[in-house]
Amino acid sequence: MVELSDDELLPAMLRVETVETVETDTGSVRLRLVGEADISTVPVLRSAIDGALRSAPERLLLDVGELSFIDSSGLAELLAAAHSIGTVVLRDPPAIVRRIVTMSGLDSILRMSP
Amino acid sequence: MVSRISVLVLLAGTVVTALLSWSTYVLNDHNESRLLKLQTKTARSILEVAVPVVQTPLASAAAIAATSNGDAARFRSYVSTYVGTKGPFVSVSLWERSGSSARLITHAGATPLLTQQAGRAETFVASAATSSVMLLTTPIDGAGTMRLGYGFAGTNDPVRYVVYAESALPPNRRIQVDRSSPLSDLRFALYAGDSTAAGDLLETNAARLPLTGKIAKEVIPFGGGTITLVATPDTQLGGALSGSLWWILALAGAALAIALSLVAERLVRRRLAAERLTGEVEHLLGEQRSIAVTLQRALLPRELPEVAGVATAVRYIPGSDGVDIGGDWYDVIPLDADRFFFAVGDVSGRGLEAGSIMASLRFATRGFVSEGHGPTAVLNSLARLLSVEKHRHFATMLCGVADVPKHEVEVAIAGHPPPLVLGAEGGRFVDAPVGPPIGVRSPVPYRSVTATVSPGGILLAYTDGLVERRGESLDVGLGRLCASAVSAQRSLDDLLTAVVAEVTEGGQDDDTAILGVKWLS
Repeated sequence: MVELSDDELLPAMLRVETVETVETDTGSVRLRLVGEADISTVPVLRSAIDGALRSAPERLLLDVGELSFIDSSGLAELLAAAHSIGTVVLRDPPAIVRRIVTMSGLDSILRMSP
Repeated sequence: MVSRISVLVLLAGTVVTALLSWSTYVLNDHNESRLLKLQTKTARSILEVAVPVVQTPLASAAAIAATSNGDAARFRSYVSTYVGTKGPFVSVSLWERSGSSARLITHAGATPLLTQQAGRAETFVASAATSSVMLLTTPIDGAGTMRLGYGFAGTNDPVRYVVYAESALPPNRRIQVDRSSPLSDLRFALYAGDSTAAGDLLETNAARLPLTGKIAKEVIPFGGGTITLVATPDTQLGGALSGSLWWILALAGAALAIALSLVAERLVRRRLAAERLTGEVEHLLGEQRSIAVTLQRALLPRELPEVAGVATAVRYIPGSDGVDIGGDWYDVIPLDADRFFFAVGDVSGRGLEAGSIMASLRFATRGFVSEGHGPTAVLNSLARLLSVEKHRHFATMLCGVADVPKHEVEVAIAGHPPPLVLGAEGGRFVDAPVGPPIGVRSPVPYRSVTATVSPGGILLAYTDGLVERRGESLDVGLGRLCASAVSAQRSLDDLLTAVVAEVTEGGQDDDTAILGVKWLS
């Protein structure tokens, strides 16, 4: 019998929600990421971002206040989006996410606010 | 093959059913006995009421005979109302006793059957005369009809007159009991005296005697003698359901036990199938894992080249599932007698694509180095090979050139964790400017810094799997690495082993590569 750890039984979860915004700035699309963005949740992230980019916005705003982890696969998706439309802003990143972005030398590409 | 569990379930179900069924049976049996006793008692009280019905007219007739000195006419006129279809008797007669013999004075109704048996009437009358209470005969057989006789002595002293009466027993001594009677649920038999011999039978509603099964018996005083009532239930006294409950329970319980056992069997089989499947999946994963490991080894340097003045060592730890090929790599390339190029890199994601990108970056690096490029030039050249937009992968990389005699290391970083330098004074991370990862377009240029390594010092370059933990800041991981490296400074191999053991404790899900360089002097 194979023993499965909790991690394997409960794979990392990522929820992506489209945030309706009242901003008149129609050039932005805003998504909220909740959970962990890693290699196992990349499909969720990719389809959400692809959907958001379909309206050809100038900026992608990502509320990442509730994003607890991001690995290189997750970063690759954000970077691909940044290259495609120019500006990706991470809003309210937790210290853990902020540090990963900084150490990966990506703070010039993924803007973080505040 | 039937599983042990389903047999156990069947066994347990059967035992529980048997116990339930048995206790229901016993309970019902007990109840039936109680009800039988109760009904028999009711029957007894009915029979007790019959005693005065017989005794009272005989006592009155005896009194009249005594006071009228055996006047036959007066006697007949009194007893006539009790004889025939209206009364309890078919025959009532008056006898005069003289000494040990007796003489019939008169009779009303039929001729007493007792007189047809020579001497029997005289003997019975004589014994009735000496008894202060009513006496009963045994059933008298009179050519097809059966009767029961009663004798009652008058009150004169000495006794002179005796009244003798006979009542008919039902044909064949069989009677029908009305459905509404309290006896309708019983099969019973009445016997004269306290024996239950066939000859003493007075009446019964049973087709066959003696009664068998659950029997209740009551001996009822009747004048000077007794009548015995024997009864057995004709139906379930407590109702049909209470009698059938035990076998209904047994059948239902058995069915339930079998059903449960089948369910258990099915569950066991499913579990076995699932286990077999898991085993197969595990086997396949194991195969895939070994393929991934083989491929990874093929893509990584077989062994590091000898470099004068330093010792080098590496560790590669596949991620916790290890099924996919990882994107981590390392390399050491001698440049001349004193200097060597080294690199540690990490392609994002995993799988064949990450592995092939890793391989192309590693071999391209070798190419650029052979053309004489330094660390920043190598990173700039590699940047043209990969695009995160196109490949959905990027790579972080640390590379540098070490000058062994000078104890100097020039390091450039593309989005990679900083190298750790260990010396007598402890450990510190090289504070190098971090350029963008390879594959990411950025206006930030790559810049290198030069760090010094003290004699006997160690340089550790690694990938983020060593320091990255979910739910924990990178700085915590970096601190842990530094602390474990400092406390474990022995030989380079021991150091790497200790660092890997401590840092990977609790499992790490990312691939990890570590390259260590120790200055021998």
